[in-house]
Amino acid sequence: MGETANTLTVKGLRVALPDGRVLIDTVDLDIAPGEVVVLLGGSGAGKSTFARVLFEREELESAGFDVVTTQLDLDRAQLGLVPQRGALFDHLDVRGNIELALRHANQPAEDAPSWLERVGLEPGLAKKGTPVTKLSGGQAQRVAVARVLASRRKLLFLDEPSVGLDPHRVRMLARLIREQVKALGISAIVVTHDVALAAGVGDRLFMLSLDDRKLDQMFVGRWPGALEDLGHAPEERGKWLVELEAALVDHLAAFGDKPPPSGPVPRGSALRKVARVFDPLISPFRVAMQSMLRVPGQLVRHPGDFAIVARRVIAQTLLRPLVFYAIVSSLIGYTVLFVISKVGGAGIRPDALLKQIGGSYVVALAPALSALLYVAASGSATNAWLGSMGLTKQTLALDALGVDRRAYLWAPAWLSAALCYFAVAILFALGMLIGGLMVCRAQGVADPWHMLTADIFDPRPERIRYVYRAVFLVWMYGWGIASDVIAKGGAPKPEADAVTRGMTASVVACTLWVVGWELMSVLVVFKL
Amino acid sequence: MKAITATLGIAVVAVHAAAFVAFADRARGSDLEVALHATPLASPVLAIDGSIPPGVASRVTVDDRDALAGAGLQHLRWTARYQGGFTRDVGATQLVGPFQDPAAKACTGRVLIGQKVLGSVAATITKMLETELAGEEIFGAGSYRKISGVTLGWAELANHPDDKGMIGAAPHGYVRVALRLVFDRVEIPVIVALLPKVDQGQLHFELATRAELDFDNRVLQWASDKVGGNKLASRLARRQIDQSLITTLAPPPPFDLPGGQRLEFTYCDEPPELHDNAYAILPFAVTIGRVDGSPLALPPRLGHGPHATPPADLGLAIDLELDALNALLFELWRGGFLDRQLADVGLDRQFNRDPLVTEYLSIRISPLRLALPPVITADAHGLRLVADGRLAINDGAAVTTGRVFGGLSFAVGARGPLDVDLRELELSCERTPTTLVPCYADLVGALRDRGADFHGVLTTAFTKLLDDIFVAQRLGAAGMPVDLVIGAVHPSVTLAPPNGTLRLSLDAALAPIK
Repeated sequence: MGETANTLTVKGLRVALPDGRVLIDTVDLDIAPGEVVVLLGGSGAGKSTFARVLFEREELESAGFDVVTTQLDLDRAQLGLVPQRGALFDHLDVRGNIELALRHANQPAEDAPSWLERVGLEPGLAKKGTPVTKLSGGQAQRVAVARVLASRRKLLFLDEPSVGLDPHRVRMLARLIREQVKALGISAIVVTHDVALAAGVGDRLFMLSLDDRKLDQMFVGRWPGALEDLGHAPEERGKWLVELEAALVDHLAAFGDKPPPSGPVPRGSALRKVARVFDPLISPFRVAMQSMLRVPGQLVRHPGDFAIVARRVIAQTLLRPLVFYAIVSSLIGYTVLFVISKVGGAGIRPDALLKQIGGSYVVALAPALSALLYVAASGSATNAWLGSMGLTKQTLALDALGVDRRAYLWAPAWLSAALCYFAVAILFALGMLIGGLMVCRAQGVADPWHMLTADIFDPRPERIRYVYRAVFLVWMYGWGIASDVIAKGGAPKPEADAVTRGMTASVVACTLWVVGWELMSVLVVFKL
Repeated sequence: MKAITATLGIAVVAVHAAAFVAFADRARGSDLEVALHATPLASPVLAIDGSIPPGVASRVTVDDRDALAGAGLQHLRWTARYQGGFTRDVGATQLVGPFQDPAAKACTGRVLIGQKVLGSVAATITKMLETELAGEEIFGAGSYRKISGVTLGWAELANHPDDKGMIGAAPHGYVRVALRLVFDRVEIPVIVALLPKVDQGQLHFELATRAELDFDNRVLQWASDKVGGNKLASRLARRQIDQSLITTLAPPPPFDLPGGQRLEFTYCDEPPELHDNAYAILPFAVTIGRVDGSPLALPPRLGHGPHATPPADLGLAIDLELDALNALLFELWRGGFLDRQLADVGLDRQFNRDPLVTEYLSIRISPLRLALPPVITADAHGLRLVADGRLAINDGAAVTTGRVFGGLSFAVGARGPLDVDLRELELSCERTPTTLVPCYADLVGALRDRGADFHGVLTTAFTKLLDDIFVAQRLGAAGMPVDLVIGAVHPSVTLAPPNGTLRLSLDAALAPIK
């Protein structure tokens, strides 16, 4: 915290887009303990950007935004978030969402049902296995509030918390926020378009102006305080709702289409642009190291969390496509060996050809084929999951709970994805062997299983290098693909298209990774 | 921090790549490699000594040395076994004694002449005698008119007790010639006994004759005695009958081979055996020499082979004990004939020009050169010929010396007169002259697996070889009007593993000298 006792002090905040347009210009804001501040503004006014300044400043700057403050006093560890639509963690049940917050707030003894009760939900929702997808919008929003409250944060940031809620539930939400702020002695920033919520919850109201891009406090000296607090008559509430709405509508009518003013292109923008271009190439290496370094700690400190994420990834990457891999690999094995048995043409004994080939087709092809298939099927699934977590702000919510996404999410996902690839590679090899076995049996090859597996389990000396190559490639593909999938999936997802872009980019990058290593290994092995 | 972790990540990848390159060279596993220690090409006893790397020792088996103890071309094999029935073999070959002694002239071959052949000789002898006696006049007997009742046969004294007084003892039998010389006034029955003896490498016949002139009156009988019927018989026998028999009982004539080499046979010290009215056996030796600079390299000595009793209708046959065959092979190898034959046959050219080879294989081979004489031994199924050769294998720029060990099996009279199959084929490569490694194992294995495919061509080749050697050969002697001409060869074997005897029954007939 700064020298004041404020929960948050921001002075001279200026945010410029990568092209130099000013989105937020010289904004000052103080929030005292126990205070709820509402930020209003039209679309594009910079409300979400303001949130990102608090939660994702580094990512924002990496994306080319120029963020300048003369003073920013904020204990990041005390900043909690209720994203739009709650952003409940969909890999956890309702109870899991609350318990995750409790564990990371060092309050593991507290129980989830009491926190659900606190936000007016049935404690029964804390029953194990209650999926968050079954919750209504209002329930999800309350669970999100319960979660952030359970995290014991001193400053809550509620981003459009009333989206999708009916008027009754909006008011209930406003009361809930007020109650909990008072009860826990915390502060809150509420970003909303919703006049009813703003009026009901705000101690002070601010407008992010579309005109001059500054933060203007509304109704200075006149605002009576949060209207959902006791002591405000319905008439008074109605009057302020009308006035507030009028002020908002007038502002939007006047400046709603006004583009952000131009400014100088941020210094170092070109460098950042270059960095942004190369980041997708570099990020997998970074993710690899970050995950590698965090796996042991996460396994030791939070084995339960590790297992939950790992289970999810294993289900996505291994169990669900298992039959697919088995069928495809068997068919490929059969096809490859069948074609080989025929290439000799008339006069060439197929069984002699098959014996000469042995299991080398598996050793040579299984790593690359399994990797490409794994990238397309399993990798994309995990990529999409991580991307959707980013898109729905679940990852931001993790950060806001004090959960390091790299440790909680990336490390187990990375390890699981890598291990699952190893399993898929083995399964793929087995499938190819089974396919080949069928061909060998049809061609009357004696003891085909031993013959086919000899190149894997007991290769002749001149063929050992091929096994060495295959093992090396599987190793490289395993953690390489996992790193890229986590990096691309875990990259910021400002819009839905970014998720599909991430998946495509990952398939391309992993394919190049596979092809590159195939080529390199072939050159090394055969040049010897 | 981001930059540091990214750099570390890239470094990890770089380390992996470097490690892969570094270890790829070592990821060869332990290949079978045999270092030979003090292993000469030929030795009185098996003396192949080799060591293998410890890394492969657990999967390597070595042939039982005890099973290789006998004389012959012994091949000690180290076999590394891998899953799927794949093996990698390295073998070292040694010519193991005891060896034949070039000075000993051991009786390793036998010519067998049936009574049938001798019968055909009788007609020739009759003609020769008639020429000899034409115009002959004996006092009291008148002028020579004809010869009748000529019989020529292998005889034993036990069946002709009357001859005992004439020849004394004939423990190995004798040739008995009976004929009647018809003169104007008298017929002279003549009995000639020829006792064959080999002395200092030459066949001689000791003659004993008995001529009984049977005149009608005592005066003439007295006169005949004075004339000397026995002298006449002796003269005839010495001039004509002896000559014919020497031809018949001679060892095979020398074979002149292209390149100036000659295979020579000689009488040996064992006497001929003559069995009454059945057959005669003439033992002979194969002449062998020594290899310059390699005095130990000699054909192995297996000792006398088994001999089957000749059939009743025996014509002409040659029994070649394995020592004889090995002596012949040794001589053919020693003079370079086999290498030249191999070069002429052009196994290398056939291989190198084979469309499959030119299209699919990168290796080319040089002509095969035999490092040691091929050796024949016997097993329960027939004869087995093994050979050890050297060739250069070119694979791109790499040239490797390969040691080929091959084995052929000969089954006689099983499916046809002669069945030849490829039984063994191994290739070891010399990393150094004393370090052997497996090479092109799958290729050799594929050839070996196709052994049955070579049956026809091998059988044809060896049948032709026998025909080329024997068929149309003319056995004759100076002064004889006819030769014994061989029309066909029928091989058979008598086995007493590891020894055995090859019998070549020859369809022979007398034919006028061309």
